[in-house]
Amino acid sequence: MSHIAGIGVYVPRYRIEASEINSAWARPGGRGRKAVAEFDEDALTMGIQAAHHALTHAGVAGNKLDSISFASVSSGYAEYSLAAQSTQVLGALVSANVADFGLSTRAVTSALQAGLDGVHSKRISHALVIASDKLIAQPGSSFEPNYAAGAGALILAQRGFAKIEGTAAATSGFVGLSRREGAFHGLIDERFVMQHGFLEAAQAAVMRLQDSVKISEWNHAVLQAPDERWASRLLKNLKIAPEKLRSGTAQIGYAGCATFVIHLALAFESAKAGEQILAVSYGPGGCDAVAIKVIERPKFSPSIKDILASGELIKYPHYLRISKLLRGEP
Amino acid sequence: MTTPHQWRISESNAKLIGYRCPKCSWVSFPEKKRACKRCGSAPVEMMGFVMKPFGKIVSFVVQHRLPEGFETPLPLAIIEFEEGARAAGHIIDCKLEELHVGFEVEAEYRIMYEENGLTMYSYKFKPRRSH
Repeated sequence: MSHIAGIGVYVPRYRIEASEINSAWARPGGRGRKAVAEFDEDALTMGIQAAHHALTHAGVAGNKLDSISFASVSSGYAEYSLAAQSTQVLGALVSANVADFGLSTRAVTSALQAGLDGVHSKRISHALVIASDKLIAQPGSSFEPNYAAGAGALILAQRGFAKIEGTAAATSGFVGLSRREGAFHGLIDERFVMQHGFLEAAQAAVMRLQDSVKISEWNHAVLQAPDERWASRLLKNLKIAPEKLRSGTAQIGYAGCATFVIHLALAFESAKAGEQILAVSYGPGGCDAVAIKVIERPKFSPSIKDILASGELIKYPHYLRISKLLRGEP
Repeated sequence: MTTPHQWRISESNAKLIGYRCPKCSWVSFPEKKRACKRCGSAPVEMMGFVMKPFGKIVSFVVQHRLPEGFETPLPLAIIEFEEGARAAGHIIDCKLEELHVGFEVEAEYRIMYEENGLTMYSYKFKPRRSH
């Protein structure tokens, strides 16, 4: 099986409190904060930063990469290869395979599986998987306090600090989220989608995973889904203690594909050798579940917790301006 | 679609490529020069290499009045890379009161502008932090 040899996380500098957004819309309360990308940041620039960190973490040079995959639902293009653009910037050889994954936040685990297959078959020695999103929710919507920006990247190789023990999928075809090009992120009937789109598929994927992989106990759980409450429901149904959830949503919000990798990095940071991580990724139409065994706890400098906890708070007008949601006279 | 001009500058936008004089080791950036500005050797075949993304501010100004399309106030600086080459660049992710001559920065890939329907990317400079 394939291993994870490096992991990198990039979170933009700015944060906005959920309560600051709510107060702008005359709503009370609001928990947590979210990361906000600068006006000159997008899925590509954030993904490049995460990839640099992952390469440094793995001790691998860019020219050793045989494969670069880019997962994003916010590239802003109908046709444009973020993976191909990354190749030149990261110093990869022109012979490296490139692939773009999108149209669903589950793209991150699709990209991961493609990389794993390549490494497992020994066709590829080092695969880079980049997951990056800049989600812009409609101002005033209930998604605005949570939909955020960030990036993560993984280096897959024959050897590493964690072993991918198995993957499983469950695809129902339930369309929980659809969005036309250029529309705001976050159009979802949350409770209906959680029950039928997410919970049923996620549970089926985890059950299938547990049938194929020898599991003594899940020590850590990671979930990529747009709502933190979905994670509590899933863990409860799977009889996994809620304190095993590794999540940075309260510090940086939900960043689509990137959330999977960022939460995984948090799990690695708190894991001990021999522990097992359950990682679940949701996207319209189904879920993927991944079993990961930690061989050796990786070191991070600065720590992932510190990266998530840092940042500079901004006010709502500043957020609107750098998110290009506020425009002046032409 | 990529235009001929965009194609010509694509590599220099993607990587920090410096060109070293084989006679005196002076580094030219971003152009590959045929004559060394320091030792005067000409013609000279300078060797390209990828520079480290680290440097320090040699001089800076803060722009407050700019046409539409620019975020203001916009700090612009002359950066001296560790390899000795100098370049002009935008300073980002930084409070204005932090800026000073000698301030250590690192290059980060960011959006520069849009041209012909394509987003053009290159490097800007942010405070050098441990991450």
